[in-house]
Amino acid sequence: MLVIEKLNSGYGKLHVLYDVSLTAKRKEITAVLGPNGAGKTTLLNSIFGLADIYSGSIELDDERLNKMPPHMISRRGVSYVFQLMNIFPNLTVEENLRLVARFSGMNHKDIENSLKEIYDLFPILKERRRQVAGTLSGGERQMLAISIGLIKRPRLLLLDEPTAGLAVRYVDMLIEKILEMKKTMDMIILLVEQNVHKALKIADKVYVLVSGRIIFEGTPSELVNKEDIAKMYLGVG
Amino acid sequence: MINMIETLISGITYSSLLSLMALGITLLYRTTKVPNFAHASFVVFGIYTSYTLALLGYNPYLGTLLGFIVSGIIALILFYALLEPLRRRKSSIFILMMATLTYDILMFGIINIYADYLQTTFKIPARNVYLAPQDFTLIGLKGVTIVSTSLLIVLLMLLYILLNRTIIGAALRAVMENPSLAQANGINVSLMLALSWFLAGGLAGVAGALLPMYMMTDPSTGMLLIAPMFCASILGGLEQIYGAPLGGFILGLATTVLVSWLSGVIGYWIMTYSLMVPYITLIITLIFIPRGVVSIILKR
Repeated sequence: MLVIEKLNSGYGKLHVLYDVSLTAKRKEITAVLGPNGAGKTTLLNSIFGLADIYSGSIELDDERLNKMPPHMISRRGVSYVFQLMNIFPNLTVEENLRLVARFSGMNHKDIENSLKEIYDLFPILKERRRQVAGTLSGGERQMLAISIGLIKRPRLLLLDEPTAGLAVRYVDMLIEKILEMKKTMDMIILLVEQNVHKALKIADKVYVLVSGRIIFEGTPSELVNKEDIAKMYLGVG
Repeated sequence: MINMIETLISGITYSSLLSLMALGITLLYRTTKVPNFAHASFVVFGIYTSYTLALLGYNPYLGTLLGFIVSGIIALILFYALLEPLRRRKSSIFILMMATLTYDILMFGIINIYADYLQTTFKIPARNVYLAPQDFTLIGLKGVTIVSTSLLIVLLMLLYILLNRTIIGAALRAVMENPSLAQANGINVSLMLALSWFLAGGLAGVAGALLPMYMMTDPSTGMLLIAPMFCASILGGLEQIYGAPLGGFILGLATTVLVSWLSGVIGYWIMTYSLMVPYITLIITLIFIPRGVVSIILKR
């Protein structure tokens, strides 16, 4: 379980998050919603050691992640799929996946099994496995980015707006795939998403972040019933 | 005809040495995006390593191995003392570049102190280092020609194996490609950058260790060669490591063979201007093929 308590973080003197508390469980999708500039990506950056933590705690399965450098957090089973610059563009699709797998300390057999799982989830990547990643379409790149996050079988998957800028057919497909990942893989999924309607469809739990503070915590249906929040900040309801 | 063959052999030697130096510049540019002006000092430390070995009665060619280590360490000191703290503070490339220039000037001072120490304490001439008289010949070829070209080929092969066949090389490539993503996937970016500085310094040290066999050297030799090093690196293509030897050979042969041929055609006065070759080549490259010769080859 991911437990964040009274987190205050930001970048140098720029204080972004104020007393943020959040819990996310295995086999569940926890969505963090909010308007632009609310601090959603900073929350993911804080978990992954990419932001400065002023106070509070971040624990994954009772292990404190505060103050760890990103590569150590990664080795603790955390995968972070960035919104942009999330692939190695000059390597082939399979090189991207194998490289990350090798650094997660997996043995040969585990790498092959994990690759098979990835190709089962995203068959198009199997077709494109020898293609240079930089030449993939936007949707395929995003599938590869998520696969890079999945290849090492993380305990916690951080997804930063995976559908941003994608064509509608890819958005629907990716949302379905995230749902499939939840069902088939034993991990915590923390999803930051601008597409509120799609996120509410697949999330088990929702947090609404506004100006660096959590203003709502509950299920998607509870959020829809909170008309003031849903309308004012998310444009739904 | 014999003169032309001699010039060609000399050109190949110079090109091999230039390639080794340019290789480090390209490697560092690929991993850190920093144009490293301290490369001049890395070369000079190589020169004085082989010279010191020669003074102590050892074969100066042992300096290639020791020069690799000494210059590699000099590069590591630069990385850990200056560049890594600046990188962590998210300093701009310009600041990092200026840091390498500052370090180069500091190292230039240290080498001068060492040369003065040798000269004043032991009465050893340490400002005109030339070891060619101690060189060997084999089937009519100078030792430096054989060693420099062989070492270039061997080191290129080792670099290829390191980058493409080892997990450390894979990590280095990942850092070159996308350092943020590499870090996010468990790769210690700082360690990989340190490794690339050590390798780049080492390659410059090897070239430096061989230079006194080829030409008269002194503490300012690095400064004289820094422009050709950068020109070879840019000419080959900064985005491709293996572009460096290509650039090194084109530039090296243009500086030696082409100028020598031109001197026969239009007069010896042209030799005076051979130092302009790198700059002219650089201007032409930047205007017509800014991504270097290797980009043309890769397009095909």
